[in-house]
Amino acid sequence: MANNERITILMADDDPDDRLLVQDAFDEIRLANPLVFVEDGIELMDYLHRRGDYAHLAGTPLPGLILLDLNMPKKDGREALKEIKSDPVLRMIPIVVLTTSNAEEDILRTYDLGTNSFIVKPVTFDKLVEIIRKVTQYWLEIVRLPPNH
Amino acid sequence: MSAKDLNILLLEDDENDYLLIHDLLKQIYGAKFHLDWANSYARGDQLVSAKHYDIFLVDYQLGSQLTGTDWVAALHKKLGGKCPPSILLTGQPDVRSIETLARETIGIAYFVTKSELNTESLERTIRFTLKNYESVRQTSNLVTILMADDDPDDRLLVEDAFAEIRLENPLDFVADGIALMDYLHRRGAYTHLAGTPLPGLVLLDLNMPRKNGREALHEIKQHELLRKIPIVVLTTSRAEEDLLASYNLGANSFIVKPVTFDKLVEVIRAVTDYWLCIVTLPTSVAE
Repeated sequence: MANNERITILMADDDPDDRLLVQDAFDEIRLANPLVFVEDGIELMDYLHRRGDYAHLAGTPLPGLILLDLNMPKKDGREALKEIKSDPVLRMIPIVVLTTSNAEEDILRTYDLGTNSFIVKPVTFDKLVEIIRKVTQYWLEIVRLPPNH
Repeated sequence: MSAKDLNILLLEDDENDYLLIHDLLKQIYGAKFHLDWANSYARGDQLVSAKHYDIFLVDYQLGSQLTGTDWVAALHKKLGGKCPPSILLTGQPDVRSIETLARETIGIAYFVTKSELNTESLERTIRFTLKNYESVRQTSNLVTILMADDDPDDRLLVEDAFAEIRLENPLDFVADGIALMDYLHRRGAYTHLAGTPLPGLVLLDLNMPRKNGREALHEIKQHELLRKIPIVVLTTSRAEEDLLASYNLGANSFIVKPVTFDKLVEVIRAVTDYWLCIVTLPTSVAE
């Protein structure tokens, strides 16, 4: 569990307000882990592959957890999820889909594609804080994460 | 009623009463029933953990200490909402107090005195019991949690942990990988589950006989319908290769079994909180 204090949490979401709210929620629970944001599916894949604008990250550990919105421009979360779970290295990273959609077909399809969990974005900030608290507690304290070299 | 044979467990210490009931059932159902007889509560417990029953016929007084109502109450506490219903039987003269007790005991659907037992009353009572039980079961929308673990102590500890946090969800157990796959495919010993929703969450031990957790995990995550079910590997193994293999095969999470009961309760609380309250589970679809 000691190694989980420094793992990076990566959030992919095109909505700047949602990114800010999640940042605030993380601040509220005083989480020490680095929180990094990308804004669309192309950025997400570049970040994970350490290429393009993120080439400078080559050799550094991959994120330990990804929070993934489904509806993003350029490449949406579903496509990115599919790519990530097909990649022999990236597939190991737990992905928590965090999206406004509660459509049954989205839920089923997302689990089918291999997401580790699916969470519907709450409406209130208090609920968001609770969710972020439970999500980080579960993935950083209870679960054993795969090594992320 | 379905075409499946009725599985009945009778808890009764008087052999004559057993023979009488067996005879009545034969007259009612012909060959389409199977009656198991336990002449002690302990034997009843053994049979219940080995086999699924549709209904229990329980004698009120089976030994000197425990009464039939106590046995049903304990069983119902253990199995929760999925506990099959019981019909309480008695030959005792003081019927009124037993009847009150029967009514207060969760899990007892009806109460019948042995003197009024005949094919008509028994058939009617069983029919009403099963009909009520089916409608009650269908209104319960709690997902079932399935645990696959070969160690009976570990299964018991997790069961206790669930009881400690007062979880109402049905908790099912399988003891090896073959039973796990049979359960999920609703075949073999689990055909009676056909048409019912799949478990909402699976807790999977890795080291099991007959088919280990890794193999089962691989099969499940390859299967078109079963792959959606979240699987939490819950194992004693601290080996990195097990960790890597599990996530690689598509396990949703990997958790090392804690050593103390307090820690286990904490883990079970966090796991159920996360998967049942925070996460949206894929809707379980009947196969």
